[in-house]
Amino acid sequence: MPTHGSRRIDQDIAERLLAGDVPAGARTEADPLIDHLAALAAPASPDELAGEARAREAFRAGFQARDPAPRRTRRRTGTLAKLLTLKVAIATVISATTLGGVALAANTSVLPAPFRPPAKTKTTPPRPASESEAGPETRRPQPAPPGPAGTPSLADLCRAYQKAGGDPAPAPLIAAAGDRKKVADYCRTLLDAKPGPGAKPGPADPAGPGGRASPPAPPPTHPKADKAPAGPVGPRLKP
Amino acid sequence: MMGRVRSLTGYDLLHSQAVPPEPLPWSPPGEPRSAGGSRRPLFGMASFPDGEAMSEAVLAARDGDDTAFGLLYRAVQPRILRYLRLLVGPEAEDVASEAWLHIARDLPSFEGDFAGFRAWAVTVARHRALDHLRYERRHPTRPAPDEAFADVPARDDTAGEAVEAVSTDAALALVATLPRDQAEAVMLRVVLGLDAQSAARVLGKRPGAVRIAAMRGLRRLAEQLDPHSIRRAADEV
Repeated sequence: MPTHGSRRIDQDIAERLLAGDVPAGARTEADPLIDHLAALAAPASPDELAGEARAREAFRAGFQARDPAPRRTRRRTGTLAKLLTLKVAIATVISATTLGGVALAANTSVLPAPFRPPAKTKTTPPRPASESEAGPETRRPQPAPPGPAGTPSLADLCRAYQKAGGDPAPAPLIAAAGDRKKVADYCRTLLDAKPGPGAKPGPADPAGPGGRASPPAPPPTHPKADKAPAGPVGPRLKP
Repeated sequence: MMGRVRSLTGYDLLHSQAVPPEPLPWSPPGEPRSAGGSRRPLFGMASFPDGEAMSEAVLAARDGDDTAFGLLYRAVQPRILRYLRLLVGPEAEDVASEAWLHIARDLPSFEGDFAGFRAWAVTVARHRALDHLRYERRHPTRPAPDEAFADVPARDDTAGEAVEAVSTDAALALVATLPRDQAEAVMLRVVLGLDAQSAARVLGKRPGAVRIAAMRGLRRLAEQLDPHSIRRAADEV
């Protein structure tokens, strides 16, 4: 009768095998069935990933075509920090594809050094909207003090983004604008629409209606996240 | 894809795990394991670590983050491809492409974690495959899918080969010889890493039936892979 190791494959052994949990009683010689199952689930070969660029392109095109309503930023408030960390993890993975021994991106509780929060203090009082001009060349004030939750608002991130010359775009802005290319317009609209920057908590700022229009924006879309989020990071994200 | 050399991909980094230093009980001492750097055979749900991070990628992709979508694709597409090979053979790539268009389109209305996403994605793929098969039956132009593996060489069982890694293609070819319900049950559990309930939902069957089918599939595979086990078991009785 078919066995695994020296034991017959019953329902229990089958369930453990199927879950990838090799029974403790496995024989000490090569186990052909385990080898076989591992081969079925082996890591991807390059040809199995050949369609990735096309799939992502279709995905992006689909989202731009849909032109979704203002972002569901409110829903993301609680997980924003984790998502940002995830983006960092993703960026670390993608930018380190040929480096062996790179810290596994799975540890999402650690921020790599480049993503330390900026040392600048946020003490400059906010300016009224009539003076907020978009454009990287404008000298912007420091972002307003963060809201009670300690997370910079989207407006704060926008100001920092513009002050930094429009590059790089922090992940919450990319997420809110829908696309790295749209961040500049999104921020322009957001800051124009707000009566005063204020210390609004959380990312629940409403996006301006024009945030979805997409004339080409300065930061190039780059699939490799060399321009991974390096914007102001809330205190929640301490390593 | 036999004996292919792979470069390390982001997927590998995301999914590789720390290697325990001691030799594992099921490895012949001193023998190298399969390519890819991982010494521990991973399959089933164990081959999808980082569930929490990947579940967050699902959330991000739902809101249009194409980097997160790319991560999901890299994790799931190879597994879907292998499953589709079982159903539609060489048409797997085409059917998979169609499936991902549907997945990308419908993702905003998907709710669930990474395991749920995998189950949903393979359901979409399966429906595309069945549609494809229905179409092919009405307009036959190619050999039937069960002949798709006819030209894949049978697994070489010589002593020298025993220490080499089994290639994925050879492993798939063997699964393709199983009855279809057993093959699907094994693939959904082992390759897509679905639990018994989710696999049953994908197949539209009762969980008990899918458990039994998977068990029978494993028994049949074990039988094919190690015919000596029958003699050994008889000796031990």
